[in-house]
Amino acid sequence: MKKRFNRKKKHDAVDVDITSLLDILTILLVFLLQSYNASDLKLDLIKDLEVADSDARELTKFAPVVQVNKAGVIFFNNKEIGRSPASGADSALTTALKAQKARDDEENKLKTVKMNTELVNFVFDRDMNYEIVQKVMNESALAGYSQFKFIVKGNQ
Amino acid sequence: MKQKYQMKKPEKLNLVPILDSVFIFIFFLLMSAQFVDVHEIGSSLPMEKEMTDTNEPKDPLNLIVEVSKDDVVVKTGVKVVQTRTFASTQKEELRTYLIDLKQKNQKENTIIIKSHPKVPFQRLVAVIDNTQAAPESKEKLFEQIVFDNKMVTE
Repeated sequence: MKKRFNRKKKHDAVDVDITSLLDILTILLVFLLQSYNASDLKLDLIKDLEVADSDARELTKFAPVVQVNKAGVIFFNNKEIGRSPASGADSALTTALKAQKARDDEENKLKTVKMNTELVNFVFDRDMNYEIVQKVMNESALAGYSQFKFIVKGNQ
Repeated sequence: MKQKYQMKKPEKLNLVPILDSVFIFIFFLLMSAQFVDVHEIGSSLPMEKEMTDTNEPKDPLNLIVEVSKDDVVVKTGVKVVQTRTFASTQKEELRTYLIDLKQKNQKENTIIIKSHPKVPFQRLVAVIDNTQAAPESKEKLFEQIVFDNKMVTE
């Protein structure tokens, strides 16, 4: 008896239609390009902090970041350092900022492109009273910082 | 002689390299994406300056904006202090007044902010926004913001 062999047909290479994939990629690309921020500061917001809205359009710059949440707890470069003391000697913020400034000044000696070691970024909760804002500014000034930048959220 | 016409199949575009580059670009954008649109308002430490020549014909502007819970008081001048009060709702009036001041004092670019201790930060930012030029405007108002150490008392 003759054996019948199923001969495999030679198929052509399957053409995958990538039009829809390209559409998705284009939309994603446009969305990401629109939300792209050229600022060199990477900001990780802490919990319980609502950033104030503003019309300001100036881009943020890299510098130490001090964040104060609704409860008045201070965070320096995302590390909790507690509340501001009522009075007395150097606060934890002043001490932390002094140490940071000393480190930055030391690093600057080796760099050709020097970073601004006078600059500090503040992120305050929108409901924060001005007395706390001023206290934090005073403590930063005691550490040797003289240029303060308030980080705000852009009004759409 | 019969001529043979061959139907040419349209050549397919090789999209592989462009897809590769688009993927790399997307990864780069995803890594550097910051979905909170953040900007900054600059200010500097208050400095005291002694007036050397008190016989200058023109009184210095010495623009001070005092922010309290309900209103904003704008003070100008050293020898003769002029005061004007704006309610918190009179945002455009405040800006117009400051534009007028800027036109009269082209060289001045400093504004001193004094606030009541209980004023929330958002209100302070809103007042600062009103003391600056409109976002769409190319002209600049008083860009140098200085916070006064003294606070407004009621």
